[in-house]
Amino acid sequence: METAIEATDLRKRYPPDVQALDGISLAVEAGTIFGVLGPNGAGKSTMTRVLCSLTTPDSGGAAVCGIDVIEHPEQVRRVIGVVGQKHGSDPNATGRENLVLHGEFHGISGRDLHQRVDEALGRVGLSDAAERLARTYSGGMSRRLDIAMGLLNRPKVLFLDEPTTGLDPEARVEMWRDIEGLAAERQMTIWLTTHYMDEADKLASQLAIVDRGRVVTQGTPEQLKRELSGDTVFVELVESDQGTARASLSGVAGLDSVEVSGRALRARTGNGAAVLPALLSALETREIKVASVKVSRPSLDDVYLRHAGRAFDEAQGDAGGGPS
Amino acid sequence: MSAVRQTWQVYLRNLRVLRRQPAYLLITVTQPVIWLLLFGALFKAVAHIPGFHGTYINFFTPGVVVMLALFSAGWSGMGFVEDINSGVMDRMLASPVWRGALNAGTVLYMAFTVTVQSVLIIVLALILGADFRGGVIGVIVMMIVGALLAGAVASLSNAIGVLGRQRETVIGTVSFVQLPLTFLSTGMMQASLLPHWMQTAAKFNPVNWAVVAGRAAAMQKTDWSVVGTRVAMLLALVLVSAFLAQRAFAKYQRSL
Repeated sequence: METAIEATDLRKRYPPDVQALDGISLAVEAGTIFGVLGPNGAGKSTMTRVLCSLTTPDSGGAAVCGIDVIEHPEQVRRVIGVVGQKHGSDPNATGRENLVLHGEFHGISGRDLHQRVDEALGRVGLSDAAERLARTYSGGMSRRLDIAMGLLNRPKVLFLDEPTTGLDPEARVEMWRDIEGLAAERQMTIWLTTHYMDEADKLASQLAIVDRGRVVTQGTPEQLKRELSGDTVFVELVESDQGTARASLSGVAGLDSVEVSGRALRARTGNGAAVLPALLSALETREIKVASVKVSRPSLDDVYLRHAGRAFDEAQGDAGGGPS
Repeated sequence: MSAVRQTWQVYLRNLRVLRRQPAYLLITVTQPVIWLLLFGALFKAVAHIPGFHGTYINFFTPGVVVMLALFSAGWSGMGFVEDINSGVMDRMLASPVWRGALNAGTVLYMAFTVTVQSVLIIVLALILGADFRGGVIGVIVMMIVGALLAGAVASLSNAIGVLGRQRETVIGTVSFVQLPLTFLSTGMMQASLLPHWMQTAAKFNPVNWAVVAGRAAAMQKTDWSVVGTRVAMLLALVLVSAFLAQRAFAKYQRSL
């Protein structure tokens, strides 16, 4: 396997006390879409910025296409395309002007540049809007312009930092199609950070789940889900749990683990349908009222729960402040 | 070669902003007119103070050119604050662009803007009866002096912009220094009429170097030694400021 991105024990702390990266090591195979999944504040963006040469780690090493990011950032910048979390386009310039400026920054000029700009505009479907000011673009169009800029230097590795955050559902699906298309036709390595489970599941061939500056687990989405055998039973309670729900289920055979938080109860089990009657009657005995019940196959959310020890939504909620 | 191209592209980008914001363009061209007329009228009586030589319009024209350089270029750093907040800065820094081009392009743009403003002032001053004894060459040198000061100020403002990252920091710092620097110069008042300590302070004030050089070049029979030393000092300041801006950009990137 050819390695496109390699990180070794990356650490970075933002004063006074945000440990953004707490010993991250990973390797990304060339030509694949590598998903980095984690809640806000998990360290995804910081990791991306280190790999893009936008910032340096306090310790540890990183290489992109075999080039040391810390020693030779200027060489790394030639082989990567970057689409940051914020829009990188100048709102007071047209789509075309944005692309031309970006191309010049990459040392591309003249006829070659104009060809590439036309090609990039066509690739993201902005040919008709090329002469309009970027500030008149919709969210989806701005994102596509960002991607066009990222592609202009024909990068070997494309970094997409939460590319669909803030997009409406339709634009998200279009963006997914674009990303899949790019990976297939250009043999590019794509680094994709996201906090959407479904996005990581759909696009990534390899996945790292990060939390609090660490990689909590990695593998293919299938592998990660397979590791969790069995089903999850979700029970929505009518009232917030008073500490009795968990205990009430201790006698139910076939439950591997039970997590309760507020009105949400989730239990891991070998066969959801089989334990359901016993589980419901146990709750009923204690007069705990149930609003709804759902049995599901393992999702990435369960993977996350298992490795980070809390549900994704909770982590999303408590990750306050600090650079993400 | 690509460094020059990239500087030029950054310059063009700034120029586009000016062209696409008619209100801003309008302000840029009316400001010199208002200053010359307003301050000219306000300080006209200065010419009657015993010990003042010549007409006030002759005296004041180089002062307005230099003040505009200081006041226009002072806001240069706002552009970078904007770029940092919008994400444009990140994209630029993640590209292999020569870092110096980001500063140099805006410095060039500010020098250009101030030159355009200077031309307007000079035309208006001619209409108001100013007598440019330094001739065409003297006037051109005065414009160059204004552009040099604008360049130095733009670099310093850019440095403040990338270090402070907030509009308030740029606005606060720049407006804090603009007026004192203006009044600690001979832009509005003849040196011999300034308090003694101000005369001393003015010697270390780059704004005054520009005023003295501009006046000596354009309004009098040019004394090239006076002009030459001040131009050399301003040139050195342009380079030092550009160096400081470069350091500020590096510091910004390290802090990300």
